[in-house]
Amino acid sequence: MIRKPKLIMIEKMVHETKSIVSLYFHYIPAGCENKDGQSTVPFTPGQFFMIWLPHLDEIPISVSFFEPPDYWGISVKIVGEATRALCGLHVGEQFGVRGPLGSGFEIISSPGIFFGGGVGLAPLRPAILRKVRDKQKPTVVNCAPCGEDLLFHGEFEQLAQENGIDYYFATEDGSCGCQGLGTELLVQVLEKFPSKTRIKYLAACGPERMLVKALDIAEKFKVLLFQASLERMMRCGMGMCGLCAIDPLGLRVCKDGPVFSGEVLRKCTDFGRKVREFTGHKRDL
Amino acid sequence: MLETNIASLKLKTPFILASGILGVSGSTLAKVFHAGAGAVVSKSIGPVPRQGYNNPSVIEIFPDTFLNAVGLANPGIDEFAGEVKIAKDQGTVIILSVFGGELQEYGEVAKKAEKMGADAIELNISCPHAHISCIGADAQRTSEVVRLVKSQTHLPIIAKLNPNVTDIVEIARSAEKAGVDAITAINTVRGMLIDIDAKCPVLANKSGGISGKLLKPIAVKVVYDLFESVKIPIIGCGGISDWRDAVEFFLAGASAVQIGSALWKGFEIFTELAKGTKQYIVENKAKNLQDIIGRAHKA
Repeated sequence: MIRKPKLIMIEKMVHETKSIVSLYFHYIPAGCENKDGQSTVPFTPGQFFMIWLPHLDEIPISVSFFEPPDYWGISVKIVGEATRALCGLHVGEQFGVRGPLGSGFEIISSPGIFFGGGVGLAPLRPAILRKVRDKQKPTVVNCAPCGEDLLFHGEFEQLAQENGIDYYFATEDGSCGCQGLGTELLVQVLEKFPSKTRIKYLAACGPERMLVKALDIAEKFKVLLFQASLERMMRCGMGMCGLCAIDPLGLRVCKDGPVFSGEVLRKCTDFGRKVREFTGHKRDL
Repeated sequence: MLETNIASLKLKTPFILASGILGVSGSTLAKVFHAGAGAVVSKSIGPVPRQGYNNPSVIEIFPDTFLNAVGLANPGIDEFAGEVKIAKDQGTVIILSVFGGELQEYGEVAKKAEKMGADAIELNISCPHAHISCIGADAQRTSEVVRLVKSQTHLPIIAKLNPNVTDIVEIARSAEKAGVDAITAINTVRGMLIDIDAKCPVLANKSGGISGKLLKPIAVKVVYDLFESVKIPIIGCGGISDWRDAVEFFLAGASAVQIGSALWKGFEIFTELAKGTKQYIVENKAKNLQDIIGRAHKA
């Protein structure tokens, strides 16, 4: 794979919430094209793309859908100029894709628990869908400020009905599901597991302060493996420039991450506290 | 066997982390150093914070060959003191890459770098996609900046040369005459990638500098030429991705080499470089690294 952007055409757009749009497209990374039309694209759920908007910007966005050999989806929350432009595109229009990049979630044999806040559900979704495809029944915990912001809510409700996944959701204003914070719901969900069975796997993505709480909870419940996906400013996306380094371990979110284990995150004093800006200046999260 | 000296700077191995790669965080610099680098060069640091260019700013254009225009993004020397401290506290040998908008700013930044414990200064007078490249493209101005920084600090001064010039030897000679302690050759070569579907250059800055595999033969030739023209140590830089590449630079005349783009694969490269180079020295019945430096000139 050559990590240079390649222009793709948008095939489908889904307005998921008032600020999150999913974009679907066919894409084979540069250098992975195969003459017989078969591509071998290595992908692990949790990986991300650098998305290029010519004349504007290139930003890291998680992969939220992959159907081999070459059908991909990303889910984008409008937070700034580039994401606004991306979400303002239409079917048939183009943008550039580079990747997939970074490390992914560990896909272990146990069904696992997937905990996402807001657009944090996006990188978890390919892992959840892979579990469903493998006839496992993962537990999904979804949370957002209000019902309108619950990402993939309809899809997970359907998966709960048709495939038997355990789906829980909460909103801060109580407009949909339980009222309260996602971390409060997570505790309730973990308490449902029989006290003698050790929970094997918990994957989380969302606002970093929420992830800090999720790690505390995972440790309290002695979860065997906790993994969380982080977000940082990036340039190269391939472990060269060092902009996304988290201290004191000097790990690169784009290459060593974005998915890190709880054990590693516990040693990162930056986790939940500090991020680097484009200059390299470190500021409070 | 692999010890080498760059002026008064004594390195346990001749493999140095190149500027611009992983040089933002003190803890990453320390990690690279402890992975087996003889020294690490920081990202280029200027007098004040600088945002740099928008993305795309770093892309791969061929396998293991990259194009970048980061635009000297840095938090400014005063804030960078914290990162230098983190690296120094872990015993890292750190060469601070400095630049300035004006000549005297190079001196100011270098002075501060000395105070915060840097072990040497590398003058970035050659970033191919920023205005400072004009210093390194001019023999007179190169010698002015060397003299000025020399008068402001006691640290060894290394000049990183710009390959995008007609006569790099002339510039190296004038830096040597002005008292520079060593030369890093080379910085990236100017380049551009145009996306034929988008019909525009891919980098936000339009053009950038080529690094990685493609750069190696260009850099080897420069090192070879400089070895015959200057007496000060030369640090080879450009496209080194395994020990064979490194040995090629030593034979051409480099006293040490810098590794940059190849770091994306992992930090283990430093162990591999040391192992392979040592084995080469033994197999070729040389005593040590010094014994093979410049050997290609004797043939």
